[in-house]
Amino acid sequence: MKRRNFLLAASAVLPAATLTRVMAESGHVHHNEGDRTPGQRTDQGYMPVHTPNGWTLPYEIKDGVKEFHLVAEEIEHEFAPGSVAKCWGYNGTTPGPTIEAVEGDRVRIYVTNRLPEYTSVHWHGIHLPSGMDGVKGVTQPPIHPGETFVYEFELNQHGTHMYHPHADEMVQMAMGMMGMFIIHPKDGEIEPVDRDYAILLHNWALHPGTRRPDPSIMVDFDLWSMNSKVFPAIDSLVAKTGERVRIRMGNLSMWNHPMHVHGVSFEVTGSDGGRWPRSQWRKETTEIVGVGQVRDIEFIAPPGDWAFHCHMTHHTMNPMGHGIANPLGVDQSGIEEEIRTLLPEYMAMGQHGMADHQAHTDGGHMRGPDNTLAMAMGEGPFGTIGMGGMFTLVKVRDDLAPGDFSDPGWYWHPDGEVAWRVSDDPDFGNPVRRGKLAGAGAEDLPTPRRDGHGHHGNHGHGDHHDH
Amino acid sequence: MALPVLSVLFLAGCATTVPDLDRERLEGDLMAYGVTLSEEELPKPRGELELESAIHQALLRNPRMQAAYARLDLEAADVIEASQFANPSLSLSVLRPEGGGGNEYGIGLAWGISGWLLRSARIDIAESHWESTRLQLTEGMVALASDTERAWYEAVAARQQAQVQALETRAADLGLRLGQRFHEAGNITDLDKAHLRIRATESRLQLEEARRQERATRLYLAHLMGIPGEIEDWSVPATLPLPLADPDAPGALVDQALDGRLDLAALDKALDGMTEGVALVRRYRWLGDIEPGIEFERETDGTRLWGGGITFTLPLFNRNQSGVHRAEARLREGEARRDRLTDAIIADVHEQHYRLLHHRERFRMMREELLPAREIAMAGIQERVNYMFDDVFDLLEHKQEELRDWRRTVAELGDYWRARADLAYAVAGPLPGGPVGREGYFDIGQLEREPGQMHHHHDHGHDHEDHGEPHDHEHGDHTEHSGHGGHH
Repeated sequence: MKRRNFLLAASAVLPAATLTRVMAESGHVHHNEGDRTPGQRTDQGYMPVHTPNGWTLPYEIKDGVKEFHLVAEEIEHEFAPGSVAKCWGYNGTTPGPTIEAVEGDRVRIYVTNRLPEYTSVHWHGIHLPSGMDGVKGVTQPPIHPGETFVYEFELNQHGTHMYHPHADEMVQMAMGMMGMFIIHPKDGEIEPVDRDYAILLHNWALHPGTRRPDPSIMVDFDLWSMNSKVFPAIDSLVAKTGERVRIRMGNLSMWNHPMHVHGVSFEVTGSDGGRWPRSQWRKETTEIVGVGQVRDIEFIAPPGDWAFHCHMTHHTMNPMGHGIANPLGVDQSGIEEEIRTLLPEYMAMGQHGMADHQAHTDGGHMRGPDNTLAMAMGEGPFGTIGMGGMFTLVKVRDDLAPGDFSDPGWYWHPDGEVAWRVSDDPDFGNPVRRGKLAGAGAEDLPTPRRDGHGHHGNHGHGDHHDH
Repeated sequence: MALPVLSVLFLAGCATTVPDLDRERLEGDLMAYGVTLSEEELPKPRGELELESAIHQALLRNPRMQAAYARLDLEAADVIEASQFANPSLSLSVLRPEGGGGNEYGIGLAWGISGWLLRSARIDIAESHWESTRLQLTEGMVALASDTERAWYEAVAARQQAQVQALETRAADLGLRLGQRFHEAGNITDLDKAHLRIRATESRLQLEEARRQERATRLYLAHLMGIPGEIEDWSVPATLPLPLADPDAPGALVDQALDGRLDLAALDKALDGMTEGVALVRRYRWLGDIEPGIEFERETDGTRLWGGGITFTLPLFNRNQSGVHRAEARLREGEARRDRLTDAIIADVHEQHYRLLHHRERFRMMREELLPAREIAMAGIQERVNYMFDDVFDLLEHKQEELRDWRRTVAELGDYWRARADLAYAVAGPLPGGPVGREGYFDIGQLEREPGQMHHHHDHGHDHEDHGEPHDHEHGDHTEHSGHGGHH
């Protein structure tokens, strides 16, 4: 019996809570892409940062100096399956590999330019000699194609930092050239973290059907990414129940992002100014990470699957049109069939909202443009997730080993801890209600259609509930 | 003295018969043009009218043909007239002598023979003119057939364009009707709706014009077929044929035209007559009236006298200089007309040849490049609408533009066929490429589908989230989704 059929058979006999356990065990396991990190402290005493979907740049110590080597180059990057573009990055990826060092280290960073134009690297938020600041034309000559420059400076601060070009940066950043630069405090931390995540927020104008980001766009972006990935391709952030988790968020996009974590009140504990004194920590559930800013948030992980996303609702969508005619509340029945005499593929959507759009796109019977993504994607244990863009999950489990960053599957909810249906009668109960009902002369509350009579009268389309 | 009498009697029997418009010869001349004559009895058209039937109707009923036949009869009368002799004149006289006595009687018979001397040449001239007119009649038939062919293609093109315009207007109307729904839902403004109304109304105006054009072309075709105003019982096909093979190079076509054009041949025949006329008038410029005669008289004393005589004019003052001058001038004018016609034919062949290639190439570009690009664009817009990058109004607007290009392509194909008809007329014969329709027809059937439901996998009016129950996560197994059945 196929697992699907087993589950359907099971659904007839098992209570919902038990079913969720079945689902948690059998649900699809998304293997996180990011490089594994040790999950234990280094000789210098810090817990290595884990870059979801990314990696950390290795270094060599020469004469007491940590030597790194960045290569700026054109790459092929996948935002999520079905959306690939020619981007620019470092060492084969966007974002470039995370550079990690410790306050007091001296670093020597070679930068080889394999781009078709000159570049430079600015070490965003890092205190260094002016001539190392990487502003082409101001503090240094350009690194021409084929050339290698070296930057060398001592790290006399700690915090979450970034690196990016300061030469034709409008183009080069729009193409994906950026990375995180983490400096751990030399004296350790007052509250050591068990899991330390680094996420770079960005936006992309990869117009549907194209294969190269468009640097000219200022507002109307197509993709909203964490570490240059969009949901559902963004790694889940995993933790063991009770671990202290830090998420370092840098924003090199052109929008501010109110980042929200479900299930916790996190503390905002730092930025590129370093880890703040505890007196400055503040409790939030949403923290705006402004353009060019960095914010560190920390929390103790409670068990469950918790959404972590930008709260700009359009930023948790994949490509979509803006300013198109609003179909909400529009009954297209009758006209839709006539339109199909000229446009056989036309299908009216959105009369009752866009909840069903993902079902159409996932089903594959509504093709989209080449090399793009549906605006809403992802499948969870309770159906379609209907998200995209800057959305992922913090998955907390009781039995995760240190260094295990693989996706643990769906959460196994204890009995009684899943919201459940108590009635399918819209007149259920006696809720207190105020205000005026929509619809001229409406006497009754709007009643949801639950009889399979859809927006264009597709009667008898099967039973969509009680799956 | 008996000779004139015998001559009169003999010549009286030499009545020339009326020239006959030989049908077989006429059919042969027309066949060279690819035109066939129908049977003498032909019912009025009913049902779908093919091109050949339309031409038959025109050749049978069009008043132009009746007028041409009448002109030919006029020329035939001239031939008869040229063959006829002047009648002899009989003179009778009675003379009474004064003082009494018997009367004197006289009988004279005289006959002017100038006509007899000129008769053969005059018959030749008249027959040349008749032959010229016969050729003009044939050419007129060819011209009428060509006009009918052009009008038939115009009618087919107009019908096909009106069909596409109706679809174009449907797209605009659907946009307006959908806009009204959007407006009722509170989602678009009065301004938006006004724009949709403008678009729909403009399209309806175009449809009205397309229908007027369709009717006008049918009326004109009916007029050519000699059934003016009668357009209810017949129709033209709904689809234009695809272009045929290209004609030869213009040089060869010019040679073909100069060899075969009947209007040129008619003018040549007329010039033959004029040349003959000049020769005749020069040859007999000294010749006035010549009238030999015989006389019988009986004197008062009973004496009978027999004798003959001749009367003729002396060309002392009038030696028919004006006639010579007139005949020569007519000949020169005729030769100039021929040169003008030759030049016009050559220019026309070049122009129509280029026009044909021009429309063929434009049609090819539209059919092979523009319309496929439109199809790709429509598929792309549809995909964008599927993913909500664009909306249904964008979709309908693009559909309207696509249909507009289909209509332009039909119009271009119609222009091609009109140009081909004009070129065929210009070169005096059918063009290569085989029968019309050999390459198929420009079908527009795919532009419209039967109204029907798409295969929806879901009911759009319904939220498809589960109500507490989990889904299977095996993406890609959508077999249960077909046929609007349940998902399980």
